Amino acid sequence: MEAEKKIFSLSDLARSLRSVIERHYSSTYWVKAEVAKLNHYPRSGHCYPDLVEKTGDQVVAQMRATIWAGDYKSINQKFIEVTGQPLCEGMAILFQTSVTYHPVYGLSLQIQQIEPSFTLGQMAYEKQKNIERLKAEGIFDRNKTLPMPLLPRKLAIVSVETSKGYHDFLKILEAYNNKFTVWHKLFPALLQGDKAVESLTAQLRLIRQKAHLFDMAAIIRGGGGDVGLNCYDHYTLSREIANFPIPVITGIGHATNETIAEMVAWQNKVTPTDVAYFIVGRFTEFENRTHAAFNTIAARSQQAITTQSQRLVRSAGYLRSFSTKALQKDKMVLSATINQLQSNTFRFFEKEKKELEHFQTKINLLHPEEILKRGFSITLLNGKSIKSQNQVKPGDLINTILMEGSIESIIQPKTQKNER
Amino acid sequence: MKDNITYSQAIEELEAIVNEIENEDISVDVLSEKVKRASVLIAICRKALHTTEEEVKKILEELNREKS
Repeated sequence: MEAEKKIFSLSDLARSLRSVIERHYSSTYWVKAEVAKLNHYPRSGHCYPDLVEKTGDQVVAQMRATIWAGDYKSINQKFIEVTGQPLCEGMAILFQTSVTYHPVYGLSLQIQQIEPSFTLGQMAYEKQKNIERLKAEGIFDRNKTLPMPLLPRKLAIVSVETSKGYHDFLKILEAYNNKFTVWHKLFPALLQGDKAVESLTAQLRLIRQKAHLFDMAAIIRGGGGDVGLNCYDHYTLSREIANFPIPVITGIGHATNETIAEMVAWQNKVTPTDVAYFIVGRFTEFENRTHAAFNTIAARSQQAITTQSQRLVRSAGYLRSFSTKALQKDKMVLSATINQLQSNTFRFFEKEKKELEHFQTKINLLHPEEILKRGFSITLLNGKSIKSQNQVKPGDLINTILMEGSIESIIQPKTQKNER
Repeated sequence: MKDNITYSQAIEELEAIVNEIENEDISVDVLSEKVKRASVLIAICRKALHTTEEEVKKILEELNREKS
């Protein structure tokens, strides 16, 4: 015979479960898990986080938890003090809990305290992992290698209208409005908290689509407190910045460790005012350089003109003194030549005169009259002078010319003379 | 013909005559002719020399005036 079925009511079972669970899990336990959803209700102040454990993307365990309003306040405060973050989704936490079972609400973990240093370590570990990943992908320094335009005139600003940092930034740019104009467009985004990654990344992608319109992008934040900045360590946002097609400058103003977003940015200026001064500085430096160049050009050209005119004056002086000297020298040479010409011609004429005189003397001496004067005579036969006795024979009529007059004679025979 | 002779031609001829008279046994018959010719040549030369000297002097004087 079949035994009669024992039937329990749902509450009987629930009560039984509850007594078993309360008996078996009577103490508290330290458990680590990831916060999948925080489910904080601000009105009641209670918090009902969904806790999960994942292997890769696979959820291998999931449980609901409760943090009562009174606990949540002190837990979250302590958590912020240590980690700089409020408790939020996606965090790994180590918590002390008891296990409860409620017939209506089911199994639940009642969290009494959370160990923030565990999350901090976890966050640091995550941050390090993200850095290493970006480096492994070869994009960690990519944005830094982009050229910054000499004058960044067109700025894409990721900030929020109500941000004090954004207003400080604008105030500085406007102070230089009379000197140069920088055109800027605001891309509003949440700048901190657990929705910031998504919001910032979305706006950056919007800018990326119109990157050709901008010289650079700046992420400006300030005055919002230092809570909820771990979004800037997030891989997706950091990767977007590292890979950005134009230089990104960060000015998210906080006192804690440098975030990955700031590390991979083209430059981290920390505060919004410093970002503004960087931009202004590019313009003023350019202005100073052009001023200096102008002054140098003016000075150099003035110098060149002075040098050239001095040279000209000097050359003119040289020309005058040289030409005068040369002229004087030529004059001297000329007058010396003329003097020489004079004395030479004088000598020439003297010489010629002497020669002529010499000829005259000789001719005078040779003149027959001179010879006759000295007592010599000339004997002619038939009009011709004779120089030897052999030229005449007896009976010849000879004519003897003397200085005064002449004598005619007849040659006597020679024999007579011989006979005597 | 006598008047057309140049100074250097005249001197040359004069030298030749003096040489002839001095060194060769010139006949008395031509001697007086030669001497007469030489006298004429001397006169020509003197005149030429004088004229030239005057001209040169004048030119040199002009040069000196220009120089200063």
